[in-house]
Amino acid sequence: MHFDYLSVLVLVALGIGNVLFMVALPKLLRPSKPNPQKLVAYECGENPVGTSWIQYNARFFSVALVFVVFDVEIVFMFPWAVVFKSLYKTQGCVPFWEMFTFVLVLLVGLAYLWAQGLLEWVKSVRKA
Amino acid sequence: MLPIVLPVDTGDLTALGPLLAVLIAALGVLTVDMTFEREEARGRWSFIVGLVGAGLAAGCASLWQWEAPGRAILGGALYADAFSSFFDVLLATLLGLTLVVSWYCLDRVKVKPAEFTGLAVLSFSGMFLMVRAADMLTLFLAIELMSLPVYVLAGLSAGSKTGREAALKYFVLGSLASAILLYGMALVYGVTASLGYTDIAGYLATASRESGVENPLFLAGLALMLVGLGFKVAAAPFHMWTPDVYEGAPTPVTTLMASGVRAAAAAALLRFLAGAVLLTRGHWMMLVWALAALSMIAGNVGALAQTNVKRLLAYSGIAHAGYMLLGLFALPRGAGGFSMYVAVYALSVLGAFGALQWFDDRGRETVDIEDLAGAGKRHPWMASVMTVFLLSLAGIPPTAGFAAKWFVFAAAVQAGYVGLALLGVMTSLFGAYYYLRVVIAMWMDEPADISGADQSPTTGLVLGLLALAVLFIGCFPGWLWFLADLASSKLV
Amino acid sequence: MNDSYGVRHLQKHIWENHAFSHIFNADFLGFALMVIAGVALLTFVLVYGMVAVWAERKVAGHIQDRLGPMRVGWHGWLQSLADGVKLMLKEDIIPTMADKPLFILAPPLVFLAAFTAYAVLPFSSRAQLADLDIGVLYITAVTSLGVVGIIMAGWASNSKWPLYGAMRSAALVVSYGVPLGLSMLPVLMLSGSLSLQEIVGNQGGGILHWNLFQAFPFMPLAFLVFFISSLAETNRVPFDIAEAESELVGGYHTEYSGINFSLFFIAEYSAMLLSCGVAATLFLGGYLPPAFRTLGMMGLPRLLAWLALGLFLLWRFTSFWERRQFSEALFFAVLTLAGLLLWRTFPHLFWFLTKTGVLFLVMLWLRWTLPRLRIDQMMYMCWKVLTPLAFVNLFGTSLWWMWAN
Repeated sequence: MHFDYLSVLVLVALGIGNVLFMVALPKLLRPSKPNPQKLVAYECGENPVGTSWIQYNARFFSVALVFVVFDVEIVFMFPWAVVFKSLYKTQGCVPFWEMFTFVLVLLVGLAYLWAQGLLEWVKSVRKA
Repeated sequence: MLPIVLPVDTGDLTALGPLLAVLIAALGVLTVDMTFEREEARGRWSFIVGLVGAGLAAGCASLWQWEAPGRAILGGALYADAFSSFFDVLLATLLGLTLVVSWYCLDRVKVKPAEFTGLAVLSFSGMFLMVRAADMLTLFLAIELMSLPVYVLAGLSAGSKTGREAALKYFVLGSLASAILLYGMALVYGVTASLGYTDIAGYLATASRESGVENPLFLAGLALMLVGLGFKVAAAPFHMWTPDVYEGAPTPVTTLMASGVRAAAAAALLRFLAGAVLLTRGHWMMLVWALAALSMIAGNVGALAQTNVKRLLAYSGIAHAGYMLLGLFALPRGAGGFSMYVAVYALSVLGAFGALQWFDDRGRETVDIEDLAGAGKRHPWMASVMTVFLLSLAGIPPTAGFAAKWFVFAAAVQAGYVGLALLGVMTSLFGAYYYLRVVIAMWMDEPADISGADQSPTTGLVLGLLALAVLFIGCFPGWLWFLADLASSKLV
Repeated sequence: MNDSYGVRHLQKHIWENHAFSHIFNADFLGFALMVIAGVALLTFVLVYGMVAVWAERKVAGHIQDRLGPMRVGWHGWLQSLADGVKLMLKEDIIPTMADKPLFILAPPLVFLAAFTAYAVLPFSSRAQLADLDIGVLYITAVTSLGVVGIIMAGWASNSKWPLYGAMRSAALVVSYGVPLGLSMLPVLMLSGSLSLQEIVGNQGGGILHWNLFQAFPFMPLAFLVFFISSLAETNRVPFDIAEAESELVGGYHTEYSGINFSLFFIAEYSAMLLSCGVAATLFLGGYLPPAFRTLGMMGLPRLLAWLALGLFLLWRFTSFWERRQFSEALFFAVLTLAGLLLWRTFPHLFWFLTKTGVLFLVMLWLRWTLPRLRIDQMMYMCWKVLTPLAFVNLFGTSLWWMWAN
């Protein structure tokens, strides 16, 4: 088992080594002639106005929140799914109903989001 | 082909009844909110579902056989005992009353009724879980389930800047308190190697003092837990958020925070301290002593200068947290006093905030003492009701507040904490001044120049009945004391 | 502790059983093999990345009735290599406004997220770097790091187009992670394990034992959800709004040039192959052959299959021959021979690569067939179609299984 994780670690090390190599090698080969115009952010030839580190649309955050809820739920369901068959032999349908209840609560939440229009991307179309 | 096998045995299920009723009601409110087309229907039906949930919870709780011995259910995560039933009944009452007294004011503070009801019921389901938590993890889960909806509720008022400020303040500080609480739990768990209250008590009883009660890690953990729980019951010196949040949040939400949240947090505090660590009588009791004394002083002194009724009641709540804690020093008798005090305080403060909402002028909240000037001339009945609640908070006979204070102070004196009891009596005498200021403003001052609003007679009737109940408890406190004592004395 | 187990015993125990002793002592050979396998995997991914870029351009060309790259090498097969060399020689431009450390860190992170997941991909019953008992979880965890790199790239560029691309990508990848995870659950349920080897082993015994054909109609549906979601996870058309050339210039890698740019490309193609490989492993029996002989019909289907293959080859060769396309005939012959050789020597590897390759071709095919979806359509698809569908699937599969038992 340790051995398996060690090989994962070796792969990560190899990946990092490869990236370092790929970044370092061209350094010897490529030219470096920067000028102010070249180093301006690309906006199709226009000079960029202001920084782009600005406040962003809040719906990205609501998507992120919904994601967190469901991702945590899925993390709970992974072990359940793995032991589902062996649990059936000892406890019958009980694990199924337990998970069903758990998911049902969250599904009511999903339905609520749906009904409230939080899953809509284009808000203006929605009728109040 | 697939028999529906319930995952718990039915005995456990009946004990869980109140919790399940409220939880299902919360899901029901969500469903209502997404099913009905019209805003009005959504509001009305969610209100009905919430009330039915509260009623079912109260019904299930009162079915409990109070003499039956308590037991742990669901693998030791929850208790089923008379204590949880006592608080179930109280919380169900508070939920129902909160919904009723807030109902007609939600429009004025620009809160959608269905959203308010849904979040309130969800928060109450956390409270129902909290009063029966039998281990620290369940306690933490319950605290979060209770707090998260309240954070949202505090900022629910559309376009209210103070509401948003209050919500953010409450959220940030509340998360900090939760984190501290969790850290404390981790330390306590590290020392005792158990999460369940009974197991912790068992460990402390058998371990030597050095590895148990006097263990610095354990003391640090306990102190951190007291910080976290002290934040939730708003005991000084962790009370700073209270006035600002109570003032900024819309009054219906303040009602819920002052009554339900405080009652549940106090119940959880009592259950944890009494069930897990109190018997040890370690030096850490000094911490609780300091909490109680500081709360009584800070609350009463802070309230003196307030002109805003919501802030005033917030400071008075801090003082009341101190009085409640007095009960902890005189176990097991004080536990009953503590529970009774929590119940009486929650009902009185709910009534006071309810009456305050009732006085709301159209489109604006009543917040200042000046707004209440001359209320006695305009609405003599409601002013009397408000007076009863304020007197009860001040602890003046023949109201329930007096009886509750009596039991708590008497227990503390009997247990030998005369100094603390004396401090309590002094500060409550001192505190009567600011309650009376409101009463005087209502009855003696000239009416402020505001037009009469169309107040709801139903809400008035409910508040009147609540005031009668407060008077009734004040005159005949024996039965409530009996129940509270029956529920709480077995905790230790 | 018992007296007979002194400190010396403990030391010996640790030395003999701890992983480090394996490296430096007893199992140095094993460690060396591990490194060699890792290097082989790295080479495979890099070479494959180049071939994939070339294949994509050829497929695109032929789908659009063009030829695609033709200049560098025979039918342009060295085009990717030439591009690689060109990118290496290009100047590396870091905009003055950019957040330099994050800007430089982002491409390696995206690449590593795609590459390290290969550790658990079972190419055959033995050709697998690490058979972790949490393999599926490992893949999900590692690949989801990629979006962090993408956001890093978009934000660090301090330019409008990359930021748009990164935010879109974040919303997209994050949302589709939910149906992706949910569609894996029925497979885990049927296999009762998170180890990819065991999941493959459970599908042994022929094509009808593949997870794809279990619990009809739930598993095919799960496969569909999985495949669509993995398209979105890899930012492929029709879900490529993150880099949408025609509207966002290049999306999150607009400001990148030179080798950093090519790292994003390699990462994208490795992620594609990875998700095809995972799909093949989870649903299509992984490296296991379809095994006609176990169908019980004594070789008749097998005979038919051979016949069909022979006729197909005959048709291709005669048609090449008639049209005097000798080089195509040669290419085809070499490909067929190589495939047959691989099949006879490493059948597992052959089947795995075939299944993965077919899925990969489907991905390319989709790219050049479907138009790009709008972001609201994607969100609709994810939250209102795929996620509920995946839930229905999950409980459908579990009910089906309980009913069958």
